[in-house]
Amino acid sequence: MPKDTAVLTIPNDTSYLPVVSALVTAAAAQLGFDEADTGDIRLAVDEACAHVIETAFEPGEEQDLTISCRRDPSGLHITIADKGLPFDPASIQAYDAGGGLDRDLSGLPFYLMQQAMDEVHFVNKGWAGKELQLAKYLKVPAIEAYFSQEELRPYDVQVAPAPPSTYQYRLMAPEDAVEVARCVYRTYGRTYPGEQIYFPERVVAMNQSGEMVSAVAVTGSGEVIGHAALSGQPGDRVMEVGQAVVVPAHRGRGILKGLLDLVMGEARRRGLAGLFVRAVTVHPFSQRVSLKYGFQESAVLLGYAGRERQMKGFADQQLPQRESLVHSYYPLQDEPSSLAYPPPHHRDMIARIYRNLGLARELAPPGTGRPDGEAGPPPDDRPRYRLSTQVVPALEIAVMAVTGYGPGIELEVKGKLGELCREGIVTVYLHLPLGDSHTALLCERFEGLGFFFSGILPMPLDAARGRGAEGPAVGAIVPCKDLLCLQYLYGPHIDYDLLQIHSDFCQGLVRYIRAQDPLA
Amino acid sequence: MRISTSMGNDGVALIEVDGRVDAHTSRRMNQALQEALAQGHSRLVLDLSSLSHMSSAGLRALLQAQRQAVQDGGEVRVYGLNAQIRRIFHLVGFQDLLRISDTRQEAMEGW
Repeated sequence: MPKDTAVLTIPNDTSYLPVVSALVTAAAAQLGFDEADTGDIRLAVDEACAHVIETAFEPGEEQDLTISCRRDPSGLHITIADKGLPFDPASIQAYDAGGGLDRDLSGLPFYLMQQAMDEVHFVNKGWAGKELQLAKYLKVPAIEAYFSQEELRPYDVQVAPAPPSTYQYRLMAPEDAVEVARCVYRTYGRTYPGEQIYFPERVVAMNQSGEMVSAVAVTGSGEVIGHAALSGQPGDRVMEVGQAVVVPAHRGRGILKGLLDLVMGEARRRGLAGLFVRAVTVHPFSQRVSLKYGFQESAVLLGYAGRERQMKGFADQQLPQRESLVHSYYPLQDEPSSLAYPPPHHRDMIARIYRNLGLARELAPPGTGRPDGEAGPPPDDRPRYRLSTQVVPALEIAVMAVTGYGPGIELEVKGKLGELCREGIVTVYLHLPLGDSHTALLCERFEGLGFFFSGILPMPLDAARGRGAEGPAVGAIVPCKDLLCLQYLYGPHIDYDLLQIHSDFCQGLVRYIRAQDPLA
Repeated sequence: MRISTSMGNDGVALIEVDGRVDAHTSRRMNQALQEALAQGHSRLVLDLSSLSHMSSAGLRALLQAQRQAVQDGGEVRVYGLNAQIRRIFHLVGFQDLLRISDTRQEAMEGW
């Protein structure tokens, strides 16, 4: 069990609620939540467990539910898992806190959960049961608490160059985090997609946990004037390179190169299998830099981040539309060839992407139905599907990941998609395992729901977090771990002519995506 | 959870609720409230000064009692809420449905 997670299994009996309460109270207090927030967490978890116990089982049925408390630098993530009856969140009645004595109380438990927590999600996992996922984030001071508005004013990009200096590149020390956050703030305002960067304490904690590896550029006088970082989950074999910023007065001096050399060297030293970058499309500069460093484009993620600028002083920089990102990959280790099952209608494009990436992948012949080579209808004989959903409320996006196929998967994706859209999510990405032959068979069904092609997210063969690769059979070519990425735009209309795309290859990819977009 | 009821001659029942009111224990609180109402006490005062937790099941029991009490010409009042319980009451808008006082004396005034 990971060290950051505590797990408790209880019978489906409400007399065990105080035991759960004791666990979450201790976990919250240990993480530094104040009394009010700890009370909120206790309340929400109590409501969640009571809801599961009272609705998921037949009368007299003896079952268990499992409560997991995972802590990370952002806060506490609690999952209540059961294998009881499915639950349709659409059936929840809204609770009216301003209503009279005759108000309907059936939605009260969910109202309390939503008021008490920062995130509440119902996840149906088919035969694997269901989960109620709750998250509460720590209130740590953001960068605005450290400086006056004047000290956080946007950089003047026309500013005269700083006096010549020698620069030192090193991993970030905890005391650098406040200046890093200020550099990012003065460069991007409050618009950088990963909002963690604006919370210095969180950046320090994430560097300590391995979720971030920050590098800084420092002048001879000790001033922090640049930052770049690797980010991901502890144990990830592929991490993102990003959060790069250089103070304007020091630009044009190779500082970005110094920072990227340091983080990429650190990635190699840590034995990572690959890196990716996600470059904006409002200008082509970041795409040029990533190509220069050997990253190759493999997907375009439309409508990934909001267009709104939230801070005064940056208001004139409002983007013309939600920001779309170019996903590019850089392998750090050689791998043997592996097998992908492209959907027949995307086969040519997928082959072109793999050629562009320079990755050794063999494409299964068209019509290959199953790993044993049997063509035929989609599989209904496999026991269960596995679908996980990650929501990023700050960006109004969600990622649904299929990691195993089984009967009912299409309905589950459809139901979850509707649920996410009702919750205000405007862009949903669907990851399908390209090493599973059923992806080739079922991709068109997901496209029938409104998803369309985005590209490939390459993954190393030992991509599984926290454990090694499952060794390939001798003499056999093993399935790849790459993901086919589809996308669904619920809110944003994308004007493709506004996308600034640098390379010829990526321009071709965008034309292909545009032709697939049902709304284009 | 511990619950004790004392019935006054003035039609007021004082009900003291200690500990946790959750999905498991709320039935006992509901029962105490309904018994007091059934015995003709339409004025119910709940001492919640030793209450540590109140779930939606407890809130439901309170609201049901208030509906009945109002119908019978009385009301339910509460006092002594700690900061967390007071927050919950305000979160769900109960401050508009029943009188929340700091002390027993305040709760007993002005029937």
